Amino acid sequence: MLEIESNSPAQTEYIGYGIGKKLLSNQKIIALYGGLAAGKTTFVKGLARAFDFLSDVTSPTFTLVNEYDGKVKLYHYDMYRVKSWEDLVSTGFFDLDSEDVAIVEWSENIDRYFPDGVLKIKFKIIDVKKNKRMIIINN
Amino acid sequence: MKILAIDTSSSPTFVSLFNSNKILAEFSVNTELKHGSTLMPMIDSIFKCSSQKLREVDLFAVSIGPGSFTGLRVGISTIKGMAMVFSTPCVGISSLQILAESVGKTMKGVVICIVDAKCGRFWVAVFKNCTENFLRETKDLILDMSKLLELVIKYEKNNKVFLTGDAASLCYCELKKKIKLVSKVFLVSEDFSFNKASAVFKIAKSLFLNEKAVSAESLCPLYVCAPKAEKVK
Repeated sequence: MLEIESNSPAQTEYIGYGIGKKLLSNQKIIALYGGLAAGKTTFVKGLARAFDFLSDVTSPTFTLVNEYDGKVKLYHYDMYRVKSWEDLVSTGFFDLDSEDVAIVEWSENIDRYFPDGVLKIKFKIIDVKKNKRMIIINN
Repeated sequence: MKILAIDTSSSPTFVSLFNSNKILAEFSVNTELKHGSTLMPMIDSIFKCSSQKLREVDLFAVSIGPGSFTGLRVGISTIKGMAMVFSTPCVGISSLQILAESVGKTMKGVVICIVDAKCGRFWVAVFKNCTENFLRETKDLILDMSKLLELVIKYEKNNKVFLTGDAASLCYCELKKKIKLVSKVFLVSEDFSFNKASAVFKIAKSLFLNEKAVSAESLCPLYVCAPKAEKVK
């Protein structure tokens, strides 16, 4: 387990970039946990940049999934409204290829359906006023 | 009668073109490429290679599931788009029925088609291999392993049972753990499990002759499990 402290959105984004650069070739699902405004989407912005995707990254709250064309295909999911296996099927989550990378916000809703070997990253707000957050990586 | 048939319900993409009683062209791609990028170039080249024209197609046949959610949507919307142009009739075929027909007539008994639906669930359908054709014993079901084994054991009592589909071998292994004697259950070789154009042709023609063809607008996927958006309705 690794704990990293972030004190600004820029730092959160940079941590995302650093983790994106260090991902192993077999780490295809990155599960993000944490409530509203915990820094998940900001983290994904940095992570996508590590995959050479330089355009805008936005939260897929309404679209359920955003597709980014980097050096591999990145699928950015938001599972806030996805609660059951039937819902998950209809997001296309099970249709990903072995080369694709999935970054999943609100993983707490569906993590019982994840295969083994998922990289789990938790976001905890420590102090809202100081923008302080803890990013906890389990692998 | 010309029929264009496609199947995008699993990871390979299948496109085939038939004329009366023969297969004019058959094209399958089984790579990491997604249906969205393979299907249209495949349809284009199948017409070019066989010197046929889209406007000459009398019937479109498409696998409507169960299977890959994205694959089904790509396949069905492509067929809808082409069929609407010339108001060509369409037939939707169960992907599990295609699997059963692919087994062929040599294996007499009950054919159980088992496809992995992920997370320990399986799409299952049972067919009886009769003299003339395959008779459907169950509708397309979604079952977990214990329910699937119960189903296999139920049919195994009075029949020879053939298991086919991408999760057939997994089911066979689990069955061997549960009951010692599985002398009446057989695993169909993967050569037969691969969807065959001739099977699609046979089903499509039979559906058309039985007046089961529909308009492009009425063609619908068969998810077996309803996605959230449909459940709310």
